Amino acid sequence: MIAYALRRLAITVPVLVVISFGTFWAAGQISSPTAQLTLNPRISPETKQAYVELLGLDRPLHVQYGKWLGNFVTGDFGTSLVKNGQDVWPFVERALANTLLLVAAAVSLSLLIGLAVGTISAIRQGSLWDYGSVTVSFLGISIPVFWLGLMLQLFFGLYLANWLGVGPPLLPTAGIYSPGQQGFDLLDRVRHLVLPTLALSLQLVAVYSRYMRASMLEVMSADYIRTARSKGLRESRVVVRHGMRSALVPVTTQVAIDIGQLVGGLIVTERVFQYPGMGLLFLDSLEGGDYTILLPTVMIAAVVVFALNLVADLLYGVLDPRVRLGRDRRVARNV
Amino acid sequence: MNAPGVRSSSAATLLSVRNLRTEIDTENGTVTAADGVSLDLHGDEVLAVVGESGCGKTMLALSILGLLPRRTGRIVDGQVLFRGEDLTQATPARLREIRGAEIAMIFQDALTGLHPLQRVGDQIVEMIRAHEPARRDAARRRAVDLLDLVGIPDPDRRAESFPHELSGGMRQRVMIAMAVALDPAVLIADEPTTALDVTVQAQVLETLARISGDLNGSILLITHDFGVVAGFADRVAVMYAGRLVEQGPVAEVYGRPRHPYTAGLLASMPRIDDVPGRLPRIAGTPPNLVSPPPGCRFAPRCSLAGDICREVPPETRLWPPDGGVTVACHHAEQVGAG
Repeated sequence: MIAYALRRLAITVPVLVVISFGTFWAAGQISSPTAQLTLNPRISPETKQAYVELLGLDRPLHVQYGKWLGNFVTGDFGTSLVKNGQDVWPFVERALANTLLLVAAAVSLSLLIGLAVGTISAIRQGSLWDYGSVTVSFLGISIPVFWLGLMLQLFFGLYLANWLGVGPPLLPTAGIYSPGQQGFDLLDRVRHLVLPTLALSLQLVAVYSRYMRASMLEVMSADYIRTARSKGLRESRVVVRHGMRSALVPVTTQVAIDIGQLVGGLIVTERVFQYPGMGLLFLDSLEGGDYTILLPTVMIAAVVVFALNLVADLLYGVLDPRVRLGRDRRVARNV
Repeated sequence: MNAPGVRSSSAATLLSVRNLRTEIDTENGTVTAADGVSLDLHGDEVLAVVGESGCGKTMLALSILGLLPRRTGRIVDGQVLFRGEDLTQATPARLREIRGAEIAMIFQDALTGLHPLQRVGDQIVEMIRAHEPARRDAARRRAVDLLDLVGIPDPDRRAESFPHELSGGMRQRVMIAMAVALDPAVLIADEPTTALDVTVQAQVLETLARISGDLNGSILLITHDFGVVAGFADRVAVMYAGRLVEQGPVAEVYGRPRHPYTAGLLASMPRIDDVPGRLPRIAGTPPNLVSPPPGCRFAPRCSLAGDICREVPPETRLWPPDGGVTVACHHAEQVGAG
């Protein structure tokens, strides 16, 4: 198991190198670190040249990349070009914490609902519930996140309060704290988390419930389910301990792999709700031409996605003893 | 154990299937997998149901415990009397009490029949604890003893194995150990050796025979293998296209088959003392059970068939009238007579 994890890790490294180099190159193309200097009429060409040399911008691309990578890996994220030379790391750290909280909330909520809905759909295949959940799922998959986010803001931030005739909006529609809030306030924080979580979750619930339904349908027709019933077990035990136990194996992996696909929805959600996470930081640094923040943001997102995929793979081995991998019993899986 | 006042056909009859009709929905239409099947399983006997693939014998077995495929299978008529109690009318809770504890089942393929993600010891423990308030460690000790009983070497360690880590024969032994864990009155074994190599088949059958000798229960053995029947069963019921065509003591049926289908099957078996040559076979194929022939279902393949056979389903009757064999054939008198 440990050997397998290390092997997987070793495969991950070259992929990360390719991603980081691509990002590094692209960031250099979309924003010039010297743009600010060029635009400023009071800075002489000599000063600019000195600055270019200081930053090493006259060196070949691979040398620049090597220097940046070395710094990045050792945790030296440097200072921001745009934000008056402030350290980059605190920005990234805050954004990362906010985003992880949002993702954790959305994924847990979606798993809870999605797995339950999918399981009930499968054991009541063809029922009204089943058809209903299929319909809602298709709606959930089809509705774009930005539109859903705006509708949630309108509904909870405006219409609902109007209809009920109460004054202030029921839920805040932007940020993570109310204006003027000093320090940590759990209730306020959670209230700000509700709408972005809902916006992010609808699609996830739809997708997870489809996975679970398909997986459960397959499992519940297996011979060992019949065996479990022949043992005189309660149906709830047959469904949960024998059915769901097996059905969760492929679903877990798929869910972890899908985390990567969450990034797009996350960027949109954070923008709509002005939620100060990695997505918003990414957009701000992209639009502000601050590649010193853009680069670590993208890289950390990539590393986290890869790490979760690795966890998914290892989880597969934990959940399914048939996949506890020796060299000779390896199951080919996508990296 | 017979509840007083409950009528059953015989004091020693444990399980009695009465005129059972079971339907299965398939892509091609609804199939009557068991059509008016009646059989009695007595105490302390092995009754074999033989027939070729698709004749409905597995569905018959599943009907007894109400384990038919949920969406596609159903019992439409008849009774399954266990100690006089009709299981087709039993509540789910009552069925659960009986399953495993009173009537246990061994399935054909232990690789797919055992849960792939559960240790085999735990699967036996689960069986015990579903019916008895046994503590986990006590149940676990019993599971190891059971594995030992069915001839699994190093049972303490093997209890920790997952099914895929065991050989086919070992897995089937685990199935047997699980089925006999609660000393059931009836053991239904559905093709218990079909998925195994021939040499392993013999060992597993030997284990099953030994265990059944130790236990007080009866066995309903579902098989397509006449050789297994000969060595193992007391009585045999021959099934063809959803109906029982002949039922009686193995020696009687084998010695003098009354039904042309039984006779044809026995004639097509290779014999060790036979002169080499082509084995005789039964012409034609079994009928499509979506729309079976109206009369005797074997009529299209039967050399004795007359008009009556093609139009009127034969009654099941004792033949000869003083013997212990029942047969469903209009021409039973002529079978084997020349």
